[in-house]
Amino acid sequence: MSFYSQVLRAPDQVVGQCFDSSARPSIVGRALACITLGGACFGFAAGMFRGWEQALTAAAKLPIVTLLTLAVAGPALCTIARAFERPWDFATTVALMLAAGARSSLVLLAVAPALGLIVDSGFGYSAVRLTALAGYSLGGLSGLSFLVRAFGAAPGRSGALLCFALVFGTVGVQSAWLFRPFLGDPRDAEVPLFAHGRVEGGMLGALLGARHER
Amino acid sequence: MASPIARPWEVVLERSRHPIVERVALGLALSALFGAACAARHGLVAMLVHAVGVPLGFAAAAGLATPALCIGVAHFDLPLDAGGVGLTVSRAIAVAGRVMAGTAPAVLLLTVSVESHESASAVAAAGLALGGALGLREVVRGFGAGQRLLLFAFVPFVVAITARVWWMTLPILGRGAP
Amino acid sequence: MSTAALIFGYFVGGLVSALLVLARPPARTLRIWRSAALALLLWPLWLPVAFSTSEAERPARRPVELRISSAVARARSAIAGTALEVILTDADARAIAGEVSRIARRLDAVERELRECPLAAERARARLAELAEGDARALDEVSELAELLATELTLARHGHGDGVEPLLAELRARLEALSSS
Repeated sequence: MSFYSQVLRAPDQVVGQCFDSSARPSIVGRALACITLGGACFGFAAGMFRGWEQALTAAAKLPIVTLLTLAVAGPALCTIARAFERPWDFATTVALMLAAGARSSLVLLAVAPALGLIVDSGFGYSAVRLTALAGYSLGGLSGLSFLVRAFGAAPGRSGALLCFALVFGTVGVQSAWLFRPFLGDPRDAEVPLFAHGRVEGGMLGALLGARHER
Repeated sequence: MASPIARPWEVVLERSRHPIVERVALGLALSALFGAACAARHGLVAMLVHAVGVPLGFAAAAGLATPALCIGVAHFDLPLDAGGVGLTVSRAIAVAGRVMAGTAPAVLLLTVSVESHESASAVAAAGLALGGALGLREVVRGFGAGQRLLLFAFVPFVVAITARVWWMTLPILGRGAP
Repeated sequence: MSTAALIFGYFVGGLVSALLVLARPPARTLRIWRSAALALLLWPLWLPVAFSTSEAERPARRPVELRISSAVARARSAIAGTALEVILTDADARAIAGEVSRIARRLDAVERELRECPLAAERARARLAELAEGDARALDEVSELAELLATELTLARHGHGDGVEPLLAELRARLEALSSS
């Protein structure tokens, strides 16, 4: 069974392979490929809301956001796992995290055509944004289920997952915020590459609709 | 088949000659990394100030609360000596420091890139709370199930001291940028 | 510190990491250059993995070796963080991997000899073929035992594994017999 099938059908086997130093480079390489492809396709579908240029930009940005989040949250996962009696070394932690990211990205790859259909059908910005959020959440849940298996059934699993989810979620939201826009705000006549220079009160402010130029 | 032995850190204890000192030093050094990261937004001097302030909180809490805990343990004749209390507290500091060092890259990214000082303060506070909570968890686990009554006094006392020291020594927590 | 400074620092780290990867092995194969490129772009994620295994020094492994090491790794992960961890320690896993590797390399050498010396005496070839078959069969048996052990330890973690001790004893006995052969 290839890695791409295994990570979806038999994630426990992939978890075992992550502890094997000889299998790790292959797992990490394939996981990086999944994350890049899945993120690019999902970003492309979302960016089509504002045309080809935005689609290509979002396709490039989304995998970078995912990889940045994984890179920054990796040390946190390693130390949190150790605090909850999972003495993983850092290489194992990276492999587990990337394999979870690969599983999540394969779900994004599956959802991308549906998102593209929503965009193509002429739905408004709010509907498209909500669909994209729902799709990304589905992917995230799938990745989380992989980590649940990695943590095993020993005591402390829930606490470890909660702590890591807080860190990962916060970093992920901020990383996405830094690289916005992905869909393209309808209020912009021309969508900028990055929305720097705008004070929008962070993710919460944006959700509440506040925006002004700095 | 070998009989199951205690947890891995107890194996480490057998090999370490000064486990308490080593663990405390490790925990404080690692927590200093977090301190530097959370103040990166405000420059090098602020980073140094916070790199000293974060470990100071742990040191003050451990230094003031541990003797009281040892006295309480002896007073209630619990099957745990001062050395055992010291090992438990040192382990807690090590765990807290390690977790904080692990979250340092995340805190660095967040505090540097968020728009407002209030958000940066919130991030720093959350990181301190996470590290502190996991350290306290280690203390609770170090006490047996029948020995945790004392911790109802110990834990709030430690939280209060640590919070007070951090409030005084970490400008990012709300007294404005240094 | 600004976001631009962070980004600059990231790419400086990437450059240093790529140089470290290139500096390690004696031969710069395509795989090493690929590893260096990954280190330049994704050094927080790639470096730990790149340095945890030295690809240039690792000989090609037989599928049965990968099956055994994967089964042992699964067995270790099933008991990680529990009191059962002492049943199969890191040292045990390394010893098993070392012995399996030794047998596999011996098998590689015998098979190479059979391939490259077609004119060797028939009795010698028959003896070599018998050795190769014996080693291959032994490795398959070790692989089966390792897989069973991984399953038993997973069950033992949930309180249902009664067969761990006999399996482990048989695995150790099998490896001891191979090491003395």
